[in-house]
Amino acid sequence: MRNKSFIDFSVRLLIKEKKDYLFSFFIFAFIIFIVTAVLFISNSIKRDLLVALANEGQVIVKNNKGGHYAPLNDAYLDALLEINGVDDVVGKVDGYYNFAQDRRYFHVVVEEDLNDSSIYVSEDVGELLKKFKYEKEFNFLVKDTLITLDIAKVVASNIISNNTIFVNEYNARRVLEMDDDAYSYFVLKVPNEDEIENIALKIPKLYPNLVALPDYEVESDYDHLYYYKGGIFMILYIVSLVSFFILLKNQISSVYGSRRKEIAILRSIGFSISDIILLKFIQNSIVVFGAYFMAIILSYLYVFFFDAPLLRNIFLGEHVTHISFTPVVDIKMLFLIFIFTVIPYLASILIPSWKLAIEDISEAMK
Amino acid sequence: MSIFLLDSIVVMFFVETVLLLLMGTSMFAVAKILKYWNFDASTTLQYALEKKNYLVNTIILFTIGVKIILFVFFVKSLDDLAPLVPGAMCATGVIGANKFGNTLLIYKIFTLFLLGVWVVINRLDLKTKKFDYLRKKYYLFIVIFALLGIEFALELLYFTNIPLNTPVFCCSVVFVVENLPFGLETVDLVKIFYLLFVSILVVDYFNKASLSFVLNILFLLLAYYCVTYFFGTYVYEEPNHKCPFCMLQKEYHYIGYLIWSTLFLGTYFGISPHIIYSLIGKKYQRLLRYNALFLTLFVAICSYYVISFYLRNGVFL
Repeated sequence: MRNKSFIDFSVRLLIKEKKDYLFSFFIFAFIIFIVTAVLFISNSIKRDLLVALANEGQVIVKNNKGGHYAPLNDAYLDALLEINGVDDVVGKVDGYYNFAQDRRYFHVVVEEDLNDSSIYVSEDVGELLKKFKYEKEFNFLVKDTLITLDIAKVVASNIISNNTIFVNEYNARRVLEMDDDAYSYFVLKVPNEDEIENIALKIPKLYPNLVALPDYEVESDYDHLYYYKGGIFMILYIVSLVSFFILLKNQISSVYGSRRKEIAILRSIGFSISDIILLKFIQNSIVVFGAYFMAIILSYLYVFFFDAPLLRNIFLGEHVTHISFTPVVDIKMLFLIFIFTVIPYLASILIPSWKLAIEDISEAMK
Repeated sequence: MSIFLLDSIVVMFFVETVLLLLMGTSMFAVAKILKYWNFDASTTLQYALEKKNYLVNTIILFTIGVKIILFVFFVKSLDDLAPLVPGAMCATGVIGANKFGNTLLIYKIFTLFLLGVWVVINRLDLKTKKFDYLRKKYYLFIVIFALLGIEFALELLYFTNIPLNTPVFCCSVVFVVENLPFGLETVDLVKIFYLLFVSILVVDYFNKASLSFVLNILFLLLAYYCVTYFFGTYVYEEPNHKCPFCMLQKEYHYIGYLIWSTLFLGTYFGISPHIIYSLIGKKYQRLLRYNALFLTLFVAICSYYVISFYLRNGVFL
């Protein structure tokens, strides 16, 4: 009985009865679509952050004075170079410029290729500046003077470069009002990975005001942040899934009620109870897998081609308008969604299928 | 640690709860069946019970399928936890993070074995005309249900007690001392491993279930040590990297899943005929064939790493 033609028969029967399943198919696909989109967004953001982190050095050193970050100077740089195992120390200049007209901050980042009179801006900053008629050039307002620089290029923005203005180091110091020997933070290059932890511990011992963050610690912070956000979604999702499955069980039961005669005929020509259960299981598997794959493809398009309108605001806030997510597809995540959605779905149709299969034949035929 | 920290753990608990609920509902049917079952009676009750029997079978078969998928998922989640737990580089650190971890892992494998035995008994039962093993099958299921309830509690204890601030040991620390059984050297261990493998093949050929039972349990134990301390080093191509979990990671092409699953499947088919015989008194030696098949596959994969390393480099590690 259970061979290829059995499966063939179930598929044909499913095509004939497709109306019965349309409701659950679309609602279920929608649920999977939302959960996949959320996870795609958070994974993509996390990946971008981690890639940016990997391009930095192994240890980041900042100057913390009573809870405020203060600039560092050359004396610290020389002292850090003395530590065994540190190959190189690079002083970085970076900071935030308050653009009061729109009540927001721009991230000022150093880009060495730029000359003294031009800047690059990220796509969303460029768009914003246009509104304020800064099309060709931009005026930085600093304490004593006005620095006017040409906008040479608008660069595409991802999660890191969004909200960013790129200037060279000379201009960065002028905009952020930093002295020539002042640095925002240091990046330490440590070639031997095993030494990172020791060096990170040693620095605060030498200078209690310095904070040393090894790369793995920052990485684990990012992980915590995004796992946590994902966790909240999961809880909300469980609530919606549970109500969906109750709905599904009732819907399937009522639909199956109208199919009693058909099943009775099948039983009377020799289908056993477990054959009927298997038949319904195969049909529902096809529906649920169809919904699963359709939802995943749709949410891929939604997030990575259309940049997730509406949903991205949950993660990035209202201000971010021009951002493109780096496509990241994690098989583990798809496996997770599979377990989360497909298995409870199949579990919730077991009892209705059984009820349908055990119907009394002579009763149903009346 | 909060169990809400990681999506996969939340999902795992959700699915486990669904399964327990399903099994719990079928428990009512089981109780009724055990109480009133009488195959020779032609009452309405008996017909209703026979119909319920189908439901319970379907639910348990579904549970078993999901449990196997969930086990893979569980191991995968342990790997995901590794970056969050300080000091852990792979699942070793995470599983050893508290006293429940190792127990839970062994317990999970044990319940999977039992569920597998249940499937076979169920098949045999359905083949008989009068459901001869029905009662035994359902008593076994009640035991399994209780065990799965304990497993759920254990899981909860394990995940809530993972420390996120105190560092745990990494596999390079846990497995650095060669903690081999019976005070054996690695070389002797590998010799015994192959010897045992050959004797299992012989025993399988002569269909000796009870002997196969003993040998397979021994083999499972030895194979664990051999993979961890000997074959693993060839998988990683590094003499000091001894870990049963790292081979599950992407860097080693997920080969660990194949290695461990063939070992477990193989020993399962070797052990279960004897258990089935002692439970329901029926000989079912056909499974021993699969025992030989999967163990050969397992040994072939392990040996392949050693041989290919030798051929490429001309030395053993």
